[in-house]
Amino acid sequence: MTRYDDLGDIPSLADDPGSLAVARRLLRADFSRESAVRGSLRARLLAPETAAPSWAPIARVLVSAAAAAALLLAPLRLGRRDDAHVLPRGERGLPVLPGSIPARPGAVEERLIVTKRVGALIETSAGRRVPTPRGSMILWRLDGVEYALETRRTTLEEIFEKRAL
Amino acid sequence: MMPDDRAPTPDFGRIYDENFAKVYNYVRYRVGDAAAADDVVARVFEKALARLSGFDPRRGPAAAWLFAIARSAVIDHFRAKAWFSWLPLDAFHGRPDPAPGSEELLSKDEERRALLESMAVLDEREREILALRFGGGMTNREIAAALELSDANVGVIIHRALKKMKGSLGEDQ
Repeated sequence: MTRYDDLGDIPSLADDPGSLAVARRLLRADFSRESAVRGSLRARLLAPETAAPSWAPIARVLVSAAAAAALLLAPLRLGRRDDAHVLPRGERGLPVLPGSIPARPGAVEERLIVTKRVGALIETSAGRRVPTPRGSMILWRLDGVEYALETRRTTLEEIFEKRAL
Repeated sequence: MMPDDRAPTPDFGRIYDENFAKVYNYVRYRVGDAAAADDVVARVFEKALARLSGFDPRRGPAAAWLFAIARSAVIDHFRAKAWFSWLPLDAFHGRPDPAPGSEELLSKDEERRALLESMAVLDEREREILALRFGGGMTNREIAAALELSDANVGVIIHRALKKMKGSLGEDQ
C-alpha cells in the first residue's frame, strides 16, 4: 500500500522539481504544536465524568430491575387469574367485546365506595340513549339539570379555531 | 463455544494520541486560523467520544472514521462563519503569536505561515484534497474513497494544486 509520504502516486512530480519541493515542505509541516488545547482537551474528554458511558453496567441494572418487578407482579397476576373474565363467543367462535363487563355482585360489595351526601351527585336520566344525526348521546342529570354526554364524529375545524393573520 | 461477535471496546485515549496531529493539521489547512482550528478539532473529538460506542475497529481504521467527522465539522465551521460574517472583525480576538524560543522556531513559524498563505490560490476542492493528503496523512486511495473520486483523479488534482502553490513559495525556478 502507498504510504502518504511516498509521493510516487502523484504523476509527473519527478519531472516537476518545483512541485516536488512544495510537496516535501507540506509533508514536513506540523501545525499541531501550535494547538492550545491538545492537552486540556484530552484531559477533559478522558475525565471519568465525560467519558462515554459503558452500557454493560446500565444493562445489568435494568435486567435486575426487570427481574425484581417480575417477582413482585407475579403473585398479583396469579391472584387475578381466578377472576379472569371469559369473553362471550359470537359467530364462528370469535370473541364479542361487550359494551361493558358486568361486575360480579360480591366484588362490587367489597369495593363499594361510600360517599357522603354533601354536594351534587350525578345520576343518569333513566339511562336515556338519544340518537343524534352523527352518533348518539346519553343524558345525565345533575341537580335537576340535564347534560348530554355525546359520541359523534367530529372534524378538526370544529375543535380548532382558524384565525387569519 | 460461540464466537464473540461483539466489537472490541475502542481505546479513546489511544485514538486521540495517534490521530490528534493529523486531524489538527487537516483542520488547520482547511480553516487557516489557529484558534478556529482548536475549536473545530475540539468539536471533532467531542463528537468522536459521543459516537465511540458506534465505532467498530473491525470495519475500518479509526483515522477514516475520525476524518469523516472532521470533514463534517469543517463544513459546519464554514457554514457558521458565513452566517456570522456580518460581524465586525473586532469581535474576534486573534491569539497572539507564541514567542519564538529560537531562530529555528521562528523560521518554522514563518514556513508554516507561508504554506498556509500559498494555499489561498487553491479552490475549495484542491484545498480539501491537499489538507487530507498532507495534513491528514491519507493516501490517494483513501482520499479517493472518501470523496468518491478515482485514485488517478486525486493524483492529478494534487499535482495541479502543487503547481499553483510553487510560485508563491519561490519554488518555480
